[in-house]
Amino acid sequence: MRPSGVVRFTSYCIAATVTIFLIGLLTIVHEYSGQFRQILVSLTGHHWTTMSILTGLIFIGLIFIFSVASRSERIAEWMKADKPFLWSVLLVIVTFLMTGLNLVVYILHYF
Amino acid sequence: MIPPAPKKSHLKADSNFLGNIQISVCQYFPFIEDIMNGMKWDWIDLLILFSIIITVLVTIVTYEEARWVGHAVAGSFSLILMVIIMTTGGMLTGRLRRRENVRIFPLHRKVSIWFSLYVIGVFFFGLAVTASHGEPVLTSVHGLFGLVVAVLAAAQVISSLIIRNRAPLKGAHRIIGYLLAPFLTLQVIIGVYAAVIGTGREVALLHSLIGGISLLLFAWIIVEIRYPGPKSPDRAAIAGYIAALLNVIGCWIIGGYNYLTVYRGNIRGIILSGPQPWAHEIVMEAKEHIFLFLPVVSIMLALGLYTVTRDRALMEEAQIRKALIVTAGLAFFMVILMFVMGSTISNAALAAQGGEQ
Repeated sequence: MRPSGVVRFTSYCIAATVTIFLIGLLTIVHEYSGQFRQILVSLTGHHWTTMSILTGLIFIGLIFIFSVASRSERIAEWMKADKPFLWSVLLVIVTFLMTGLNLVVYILHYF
Repeated sequence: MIPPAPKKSHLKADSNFLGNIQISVCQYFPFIEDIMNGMKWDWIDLLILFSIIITVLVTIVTYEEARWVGHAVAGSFSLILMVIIMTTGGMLTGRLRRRENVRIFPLHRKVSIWFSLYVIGVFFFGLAVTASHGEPVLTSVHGLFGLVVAVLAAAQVISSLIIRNRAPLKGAHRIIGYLLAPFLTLQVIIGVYAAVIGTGREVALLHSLIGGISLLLFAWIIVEIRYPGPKSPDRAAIAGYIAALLNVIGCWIIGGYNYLTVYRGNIRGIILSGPQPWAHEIVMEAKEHIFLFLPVVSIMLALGLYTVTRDRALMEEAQIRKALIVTAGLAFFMVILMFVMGSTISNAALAAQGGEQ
């Protein structure tokens, strides 16, 4: 079944929220784990370039996954796909949270 | 002939001396009465007061190290007022939906008056800053263009305050208003360009300008969704596509290129050896990763707007409209955050070079 506009919209919102959470988390991990940072560097020559590519891939992948998954009514209900506003607020909260955590990590690292 | 009805005024015929002087002055200078009649403080007055306080504070704090920053902040607030004028103007002409129980024209008029006064003030402020540093005034493109913008703003405010019957001037008022919007935007761009040209940061300038345009686009989307007219979904979607494209190509790719080449090759070392190494160690290190959230949010917004254009009924869903406004607001905030962080890094580099800013 083709998902409704609301469900499709919410799928994009969930994909963005999860992507930002994962990228924020990976940034913190790469700051504390030299080994992980080295892996990122070895892939493209610079950790930021790898993180950029990863951001694009994760986001596109999650859009695909959530769009397909939301075709199932049961999964769409579990995802609360009929509540786009709730997910947009979560997107804001997660973005602020990861922004704040990233800043704290670098402040702690500096001192 | 029936005599015209006396104009309503909140000024009372007080028996005290000052009250009488006030009324006498208003008889000779009716625009003062207009200003005082309009002095019922609301959110727009608070916005103006806030912007003036912030401008003065930033100017004082940055006067020695980055003297152009205060002027730039004032220019940015002028842009915000311009967006409000364009929004209320769009409501008056029917392009945007009017809010019920809100009288748009008084709001449009009040913001326009404040905007004109603010733009004129910013112009003289720029002249004063330039003159105080012993530099010739009104010789640069930015200065001369500022004069044009100030004259146009003065023409708007004078016609609004002094002339009672403005109906014959409606066409000219509208044309000047439409001219002021691109002129002011261009003036801010020229100003930023003048501040950084010759410093080897042209790529950073391009990166910032694209960010600035996307900021205006996000504001536009918020206005279109908040006050939707029949063509609002299409216009908002176009703004969303352009903003996403600018964020990906302009900010992500050009910004990334600038970071990996110019910044890492030259500027990073300068900042680390200067008085503000934290600008790289904390601000830049965080910015390069926090920035990655912005393209995700802007692409998500563009996809959401695309969904709305495919299914018009979605615009009737309050949940969708609120979600779009929240997402565009988040993107707007992220661009401002990037600006603040970028400015901090640029100033740290200039402070380390010890050059005139």
